[in-house]
Amino acid sequence: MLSTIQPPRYLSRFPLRGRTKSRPFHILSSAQPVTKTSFAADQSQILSIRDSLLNRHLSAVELTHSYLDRLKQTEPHINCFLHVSDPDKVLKQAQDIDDKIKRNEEVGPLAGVLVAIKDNICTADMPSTGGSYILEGYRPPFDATAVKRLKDLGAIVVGKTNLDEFGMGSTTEASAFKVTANPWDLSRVPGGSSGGSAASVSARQCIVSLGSDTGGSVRQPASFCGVVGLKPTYGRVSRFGLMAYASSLDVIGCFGSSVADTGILLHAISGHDSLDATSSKREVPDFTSQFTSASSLKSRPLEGLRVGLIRETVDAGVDSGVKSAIEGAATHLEQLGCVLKEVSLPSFSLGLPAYYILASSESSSNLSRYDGVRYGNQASSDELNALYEESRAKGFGSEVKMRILMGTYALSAGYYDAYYKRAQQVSFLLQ
Amino acid sequence: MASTLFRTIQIHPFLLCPTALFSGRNGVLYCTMKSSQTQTATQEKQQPPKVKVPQHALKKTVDKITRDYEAIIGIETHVQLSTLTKAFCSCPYNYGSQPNTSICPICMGLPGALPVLNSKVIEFAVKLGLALNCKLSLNSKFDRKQYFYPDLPKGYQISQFDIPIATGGYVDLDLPLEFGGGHRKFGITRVHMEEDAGKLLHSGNGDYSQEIISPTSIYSYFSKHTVDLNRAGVPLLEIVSEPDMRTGIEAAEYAAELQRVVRYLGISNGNMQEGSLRCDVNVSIRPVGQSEFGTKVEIKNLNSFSSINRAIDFEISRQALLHSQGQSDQIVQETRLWEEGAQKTVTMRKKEGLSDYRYFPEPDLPEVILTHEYVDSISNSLPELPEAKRRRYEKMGLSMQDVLFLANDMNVAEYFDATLSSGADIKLAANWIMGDIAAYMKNEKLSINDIKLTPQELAELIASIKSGTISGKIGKEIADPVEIGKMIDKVISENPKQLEQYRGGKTKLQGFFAGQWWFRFVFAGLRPLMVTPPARKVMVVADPAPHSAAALQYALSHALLEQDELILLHVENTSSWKNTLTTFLKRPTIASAANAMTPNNFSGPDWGSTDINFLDQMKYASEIAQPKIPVRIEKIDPDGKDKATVILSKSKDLGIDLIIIGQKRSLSSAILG
Repeated sequence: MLSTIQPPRYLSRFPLRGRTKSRPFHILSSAQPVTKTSFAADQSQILSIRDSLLNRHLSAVELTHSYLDRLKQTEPHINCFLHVSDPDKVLKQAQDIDDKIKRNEEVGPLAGVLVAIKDNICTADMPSTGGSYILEGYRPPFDATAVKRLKDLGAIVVGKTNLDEFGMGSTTEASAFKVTANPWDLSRVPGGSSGGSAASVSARQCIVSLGSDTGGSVRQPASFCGVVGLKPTYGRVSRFGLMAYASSLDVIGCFGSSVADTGILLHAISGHDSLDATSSKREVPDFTSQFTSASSLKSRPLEGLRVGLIRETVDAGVDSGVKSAIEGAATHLEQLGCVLKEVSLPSFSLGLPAYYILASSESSSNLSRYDGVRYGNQASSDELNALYEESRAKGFGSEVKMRILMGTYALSAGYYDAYYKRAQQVSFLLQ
Repeated sequence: MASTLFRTIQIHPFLLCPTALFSGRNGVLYCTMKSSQTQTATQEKQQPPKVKVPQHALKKTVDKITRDYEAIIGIETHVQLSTLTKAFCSCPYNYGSQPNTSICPICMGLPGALPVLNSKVIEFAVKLGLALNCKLSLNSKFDRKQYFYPDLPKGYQISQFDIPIATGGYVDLDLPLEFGGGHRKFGITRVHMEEDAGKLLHSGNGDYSQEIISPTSIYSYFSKHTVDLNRAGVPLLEIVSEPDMRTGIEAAEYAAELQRVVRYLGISNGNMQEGSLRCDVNVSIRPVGQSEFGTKVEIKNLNSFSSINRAIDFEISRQALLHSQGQSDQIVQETRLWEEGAQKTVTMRKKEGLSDYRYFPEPDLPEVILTHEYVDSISNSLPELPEAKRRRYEKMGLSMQDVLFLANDMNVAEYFDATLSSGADIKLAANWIMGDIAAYMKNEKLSINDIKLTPQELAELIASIKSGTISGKIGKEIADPVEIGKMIDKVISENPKQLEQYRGGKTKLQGFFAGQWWFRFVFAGLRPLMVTPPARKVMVVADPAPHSAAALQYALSHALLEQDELILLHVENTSSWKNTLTTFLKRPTIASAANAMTPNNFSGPDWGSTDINFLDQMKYASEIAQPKIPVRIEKIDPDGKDKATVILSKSKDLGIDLIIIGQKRSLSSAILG
């Protein structure tokens, strides 16, 4: 049945040759589909699902069943989810969609789309822990704006995905609860911090997923898991309901198995939100209208496009694997017609140190609210300072503690100018 | 007798007030309570601004010592803004509502919640900045001030650090005449916006960390009411003064002026008891002539202007004493708490170095950018501020006493202005408002806006009285008492609801602090200027009750002439009313009766003490007000008879010309209500 709703698999872009033995779950991964004539049906699962539902080729319940079965079958091996929605509730939502379609009522553009949500994004009806023991079992009383928008458009939340605690990490190993495997190779990490969201899409446990990106937490796991990951521009998507790590850098990002799905997802969650003062008021263009079917493209579709290749990314000191990947991408772009020009970004090397200082400084402040007083795990103590100390000592993992310490140091009197202020200057420079 | 009084009215229209519209029947004069006050920082109702030093025995020595030192006083004031919603979320804030009933994910600091600035906060900050003559920062921002405390849900307070919205201003004020008067100008260092924290409710053993919160129910903790977050996120403006004040009075007057300014601007109710206006005071002293500052001490828990005054004077004395005894090293940088009961400051916490709040720019909020157009539009919409009002009133020829009274409350000032613009005589309008209208307001616990008598009507009343007629809305030309009686009946019948309320005992006595009324006219200089010659015996029925006090006040200010004799008649003994009154009139006083009566002391008599005492006090007050009038005290035992009968028979015996009895329900109530 799955084949009816999924694009045919042409795996040429993601050769799996020779991996079969050691990576038994490669079969689960959804690789980028390539070419067919009609754009809608074959390059976007979301659009093809919509077609199938509206044409009555498929019911939302059938679709949901197939995904839930797959999730149940694969989850013990991959551990993408910290919480899986109650199947009955999920099916009930699917049934509602079917009923609506039966009655010829309008359904949302994302009707029946199963979406996984990174666990640092608040969802009203299920736990949201941010991957931290300090928030074990915490259920927010509200949906994040991005989640609310997806739900309003008919999407169904299948569960909350694993992550490095509060988004701090790049392997998903820093979760307080479990380690997620890479669906392509269970012995490997899915990347992070949105490892669960990337792996769940890759393993086809859901159709699309939301992650968050502060310093690569969407882009990197997408790359590790062979799915499309998109980090939107800061402010494009409301952060309301995203547990803050570094407020000036955090964005909610999208995972999908195709560029089209990712674009549709981004379109759904983008736009100004009166609950987030940093969300952009700029109009959201209709990304989907820009889609063109790959098959209708010329042989050199990017003809005339000039692309800068940042010298510092391929300089000495860059890992050879990274270097060859960048060069491979550059070659590919040239084949598609781009003109590549090497450019220099002298401030490039400042980025990472500035990021670490800004992100850890802000996180030291943002994580202050996890004090055990109002919600989350609380140490039993008679004395206030001991209550704080123990709740936080037991509640946070070591990576989080390290960043809090670094950030606290960088913001302390006497160090502020040398660290935070300079990092902020770098940040302005890079903007 | 009644006609005598009406004659005086016609002769002396200046003395007319609504209480003159009494019923002349039965030969008994009913009058209203007259107890209005110019409320300045130093004349608060409850507290006598006395007690400079802990022990009276030390007073002289300390006074002498303090003369060798100069005090440096700076004040940090937090003003709670009366915006409809909190600073960063849409929760309303109402003082006194049930704990944790006005909270949301944002002000609770739940994970993922973000602040969005209420633009009214900026508007109010700009208003105050302009009113305090500050320079506005067109580009300011919010910062996070970080510390851990259970009442601070986010672990940081959103505030402004290095770029406050307004800087470098000043306030002008006039000290009350009782304290020597004089104009002062105090610098304002900065005004910045921030959010309030919640409140710890120390219930039981005060242990806020006892309960383990069920992780699945985030509201469960709050249902226990250990931390009340209703106030968390309520917008504040912090106003930091320059260290320009030198005495407790100056500091208290500075705070009082800030209160006036925020009330005029309509940005806060400025209520100190509710914590809408909070002052933390920094005090240091240095030997006169020395230029370096001494070690400064912060004083908290100042809930009234008079406690600011007294706490500072106490602190100055304490520090001066230590200095003079060579123990200046014992003056350490610390926070001290003002103890109202003990009338002293005590150590709250010593400061061990500077606390590091690790301020950094709030990344969740965009910069605050003000345009010139925006600032100009607010500037143009500002009301006339207290200082401008005072200067204008002063130019009109009003005395500083009147000026301070009228400008003190914006609504009173507006009423006054409206009365004037309806053509009323300045002095007469002032007298009416400061006299009977203020008394009525105080008595009924009303604001001037609740009063039915419009400024236009008051102006007409004044005009008609001045011209010797009573016309206008009240209608009819009236020359004789019968007509006036009819008119009063008409007014009463037109206000049946009010009448019912008074009959139903709505007149509240609790709020009326009887001790203050008689000093009121001493300072207001309200003395009748009558010329009618024949000497009379005027009897006032004296009871330890506010309406009796009002009767005496009326007698002294309106009825008694120089050649008259005043008899204070007290029907002694019996009945429950006395006990009732003493119960709720009882209040803590520190001064003895004799001490309280000294003219430069605002303390009232001790109502908890004996009858003799209050009679003596009434006598004494009368003698101060009308030194030339002999005062006699008469006591009589009712012997089981009706009180009214006793009074009437006694008045016959003594040959009394005029009896004045205070009555709870006043006619001015009916007119003004």
